[in-house]
Amino acid sequence: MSVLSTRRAELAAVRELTVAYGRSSARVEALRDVTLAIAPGESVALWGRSGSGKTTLLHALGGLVAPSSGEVRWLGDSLSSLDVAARGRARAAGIAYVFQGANLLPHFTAYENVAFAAHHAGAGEVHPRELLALVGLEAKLDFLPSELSGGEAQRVAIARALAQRAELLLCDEPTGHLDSDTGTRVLDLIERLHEAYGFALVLATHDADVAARCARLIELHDGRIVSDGRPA
Amino acid sequence: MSATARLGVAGLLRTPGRTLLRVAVLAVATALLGSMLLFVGHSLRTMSAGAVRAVPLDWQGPVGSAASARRVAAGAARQPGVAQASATATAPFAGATSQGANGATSSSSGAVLAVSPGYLSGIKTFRILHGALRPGSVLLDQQMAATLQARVGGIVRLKPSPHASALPYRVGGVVLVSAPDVIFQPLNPLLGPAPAQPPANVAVMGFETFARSYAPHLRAITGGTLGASAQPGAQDAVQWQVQAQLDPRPLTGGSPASALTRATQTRNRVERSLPGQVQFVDNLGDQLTTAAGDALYAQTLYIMLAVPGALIALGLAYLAALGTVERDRRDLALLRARGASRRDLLTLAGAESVALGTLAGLVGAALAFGAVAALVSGGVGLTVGRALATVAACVVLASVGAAIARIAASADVLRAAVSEGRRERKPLWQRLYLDWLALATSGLIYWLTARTGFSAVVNPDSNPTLSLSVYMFFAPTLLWIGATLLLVRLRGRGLAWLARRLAGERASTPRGFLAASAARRGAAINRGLVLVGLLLAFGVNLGLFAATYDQQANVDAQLTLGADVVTSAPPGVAARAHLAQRIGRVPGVQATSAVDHAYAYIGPDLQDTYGIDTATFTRATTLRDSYFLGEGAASAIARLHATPDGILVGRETITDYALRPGDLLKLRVLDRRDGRFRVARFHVAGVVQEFPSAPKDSFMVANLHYLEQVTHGQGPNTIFARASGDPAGVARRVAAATRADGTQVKDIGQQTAQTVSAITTVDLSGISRIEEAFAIVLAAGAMALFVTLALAERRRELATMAALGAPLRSVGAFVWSEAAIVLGAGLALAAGLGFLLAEMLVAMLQHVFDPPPDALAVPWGFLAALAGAALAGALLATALAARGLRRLPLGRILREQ
Repeated sequence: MSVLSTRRAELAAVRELTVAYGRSSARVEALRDVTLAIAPGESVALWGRSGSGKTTLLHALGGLVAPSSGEVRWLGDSLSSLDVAARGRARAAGIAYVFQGANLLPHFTAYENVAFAAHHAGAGEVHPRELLALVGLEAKLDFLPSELSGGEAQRVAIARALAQRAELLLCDEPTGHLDSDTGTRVLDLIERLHEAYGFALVLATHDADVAARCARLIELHDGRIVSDGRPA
Repeated sequence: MSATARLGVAGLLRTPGRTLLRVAVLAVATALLGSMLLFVGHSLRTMSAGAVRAVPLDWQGPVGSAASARRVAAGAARQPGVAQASATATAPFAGATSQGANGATSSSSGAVLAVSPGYLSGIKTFRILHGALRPGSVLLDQQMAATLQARVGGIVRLKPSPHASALPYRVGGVVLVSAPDVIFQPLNPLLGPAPAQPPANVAVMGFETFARSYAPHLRAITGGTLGASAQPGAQDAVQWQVQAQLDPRPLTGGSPASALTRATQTRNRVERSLPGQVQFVDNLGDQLTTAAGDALYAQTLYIMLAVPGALIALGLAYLAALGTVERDRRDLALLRARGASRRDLLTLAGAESVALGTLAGLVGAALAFGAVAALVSGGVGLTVGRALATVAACVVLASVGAAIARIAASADVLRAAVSEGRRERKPLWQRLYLDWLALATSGLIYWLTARTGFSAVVNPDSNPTLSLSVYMFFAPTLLWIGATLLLVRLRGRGLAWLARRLAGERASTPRGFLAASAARRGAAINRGLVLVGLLLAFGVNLGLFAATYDQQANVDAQLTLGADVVTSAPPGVAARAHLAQRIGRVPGVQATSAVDHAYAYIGPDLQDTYGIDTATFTRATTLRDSYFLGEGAASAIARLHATPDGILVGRETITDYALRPGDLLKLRVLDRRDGRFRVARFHVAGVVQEFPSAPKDSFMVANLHYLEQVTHGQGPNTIFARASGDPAGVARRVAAATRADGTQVKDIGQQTAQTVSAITTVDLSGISRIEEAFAIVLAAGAMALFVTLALAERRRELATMAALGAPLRSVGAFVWSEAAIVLGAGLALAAGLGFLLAEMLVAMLQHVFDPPPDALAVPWGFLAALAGAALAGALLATALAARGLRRLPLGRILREQ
């Protein structure tokens, strides 16, 4: 399956991005003047302690949060200047998330979770059964999220992201709720799929070992990028 | 305030939107209950006041002599609570004569009432039309004065007994005796009140005049002869008595039952203060006993109509509380982690409930005051004390409601907190199948009562009082309970099954996703369906019942009064002044018909006899086929029209005298020329069992022209008119146009109020308006609440859909589709359950109405408003939800764990 229609130097980017929550004395800046670019097919780890701004940056890249200042770009266009509906369309067209808690739709089966994402991505040719088979869940097509283990749920979330024909996969602590063995298996799966499908991967984690799996490591501290380079 | 309680209140302040929603829902529920309290309290007071007012003479104590009467009256008058006690007497007279300008005229037998000075200041058994009561004089009843052609200052002679000589009295004036059946009833305290056929002629004289000049010619009724005089109309001796009237004020502030208790206590005290001297026939107690029974019935009816609404409103409060259950879960988890005990958790719920309840109770009380002021004509007699009591009741109710809703909504959380690991079991009522049991019992009771023709309504003698077996209300009560429990048990499985069929095996289309989601949210949808469906069923039941009740009250009123507007005129005036034609020209009058109300003896029975103009009668009023036996109204009237000396006779008379249509019937009719009854020949033209303005059964209907001919009457004395507009307005115009002719005009509106209060003592219009208004508001609120709650509950799920790139319209469809399911299923449930409930209630009231309703009346306007309100609530909430979805803070929601 070829999910990458174009290859550009810059798939997604943020420029002088500041995201703040709260007002006046309760105002907290989660990101401060952050600038970075993600190239197609790139594998990037956002690493930092809890509260460093990793999740906010992931959410900003997918248009889930609006910047207080600065700009978010997607495929060369400004994502942050779009309205809610247009940002949604942009996500449907190539930005996928794997959340820490999987965030599967609770009233849909594994199959339907994948089918729902495929339908809204306009990926009619995508077969949920094949994607679920790809993540090793062919036997659990009709299971509800409440009937799946944490690792299985994360694998459904990954299949769902694939169904979106993602050019950019944003993973937020994908192993945060999993035991180490399961976490490793999930990371292996993501890595394998990244290589197979060539989507850009941005993985937020506080775990240095996980971060070391990526080709590029961006360290965040108090909402600022303190380093950006290859992992040591 | 403890730290836990402070935490509870702080939690409310932290989420002001949700807190306001909970307060608003609780306030509306409380307002419904508050307005019910105000209305029912007012109704009970009105019943007491009506019952007290309806008794012209509270007590009559038979005594043996004039001296006893004076002594007992003086003793009774000194007792607190007694407004007046008067020495009085009654006695018969065998005949009366008067010498006028045209010679001597005489009247038949009658009765004398002797009263002490000042009698009329507190006792209103008669009214002096003109003249005054002076020593040695008599006042004549209007009819007797007319028969004797007596004038003030003239002399009448009364014969105390057939063999006694006539005693002369100067005529002091003319009176209108308003309660002759009570005044002249046989007095036996052991038997109680027994209103008797009133005497044809009545003369009133002073007590001392009576004692000195009249009583010596008759023997006196004493204790030993009480039984002999206890036959109505059999009085042949002097009945010395003490008549007393109670101070009505202490009796009218509460329910009829409390008024009865107070009145009985007063009577016992008076009798104890005069040991062995008097025992009263307690007319007031009798009336209050009936009123207390009616009040019980009314209260039951109010409860049947109001309580389901209030409980459902409380259910909405539960739904509103569910909106905060996630926050509660987090708070409780935090508290548990810090070692909070079960008591602390309950304190938290209690503090929240009291805070919410106080606020909601105050708002609810204000809403209740506003509702009754706006919707109950004439208000509910609100005093400062009653207002404060209502506010207190509202605050308590709201606090209890808030606590129940809070605990029910957080039950899982609390249960988990206090008894983790307990195995989930079905509730006891489900294991005992109480839902099915309730439904089966409801059906059984309904079947049993229907089988016996609803004869639990005790009304054997057509007396306009009602006694209804309260157990019959179990049928609708159990239907409510059973239906609610069954809906809870089903947990929307039926809807879920339908949705699964629609979704197919694995959903992959927009419709499939919606159906799959709905299929797996059966319990949540069912929660909305239970509340919205039951609320709408409450509205449908209420609307159908109230409309049928109103319709029957109207039919009943028309049957009792005769027509939309009825004008009574003194003898001869209607014909002389061409009243029918003049009234026919009054704006708003569609048609008129003249009627003569006379009397005739059939054998020993005196029956009301109506002379009607068959050509115009059915234009001026409505005749129903059910009024006649063996044929319809048109056929019966046509037959009467075709038989000049024809007469329609009651079924009872037909049976008693073995009559058949066409038989010759000789009646003794009152000859108006000399006041004597003479034989007239009629032929039976048909059987009638009801007729406008006629009493039930004992009456006859003849052609006006023939009746006038045989009675030598001066023409009709009543004009029936059909109004094309508001009957009250038409009646006012008719009264204005005919006032100079001495007419009395009544309209169907007044009669409806009177009939309803006389038959059932329940004025449903006020309570119906209040409940209908609340039903409409609650229907809109329930749908809005369901949508709001669905949005709150599915926030994270909907945010995930948006994060996956689903268009907001598609995301919103998951909200409105469920609202549509709840509304559609709710309307279907309401139509079925509401109809069944109304059918049950109306069927039970078959004997309240005369004639009984043939079918339920359907208030389409109200039902449309109810459904429209629910739809509007859903649309508004869905529109707001769509707006909310656009503003959903996706990032923040998706970070929440």
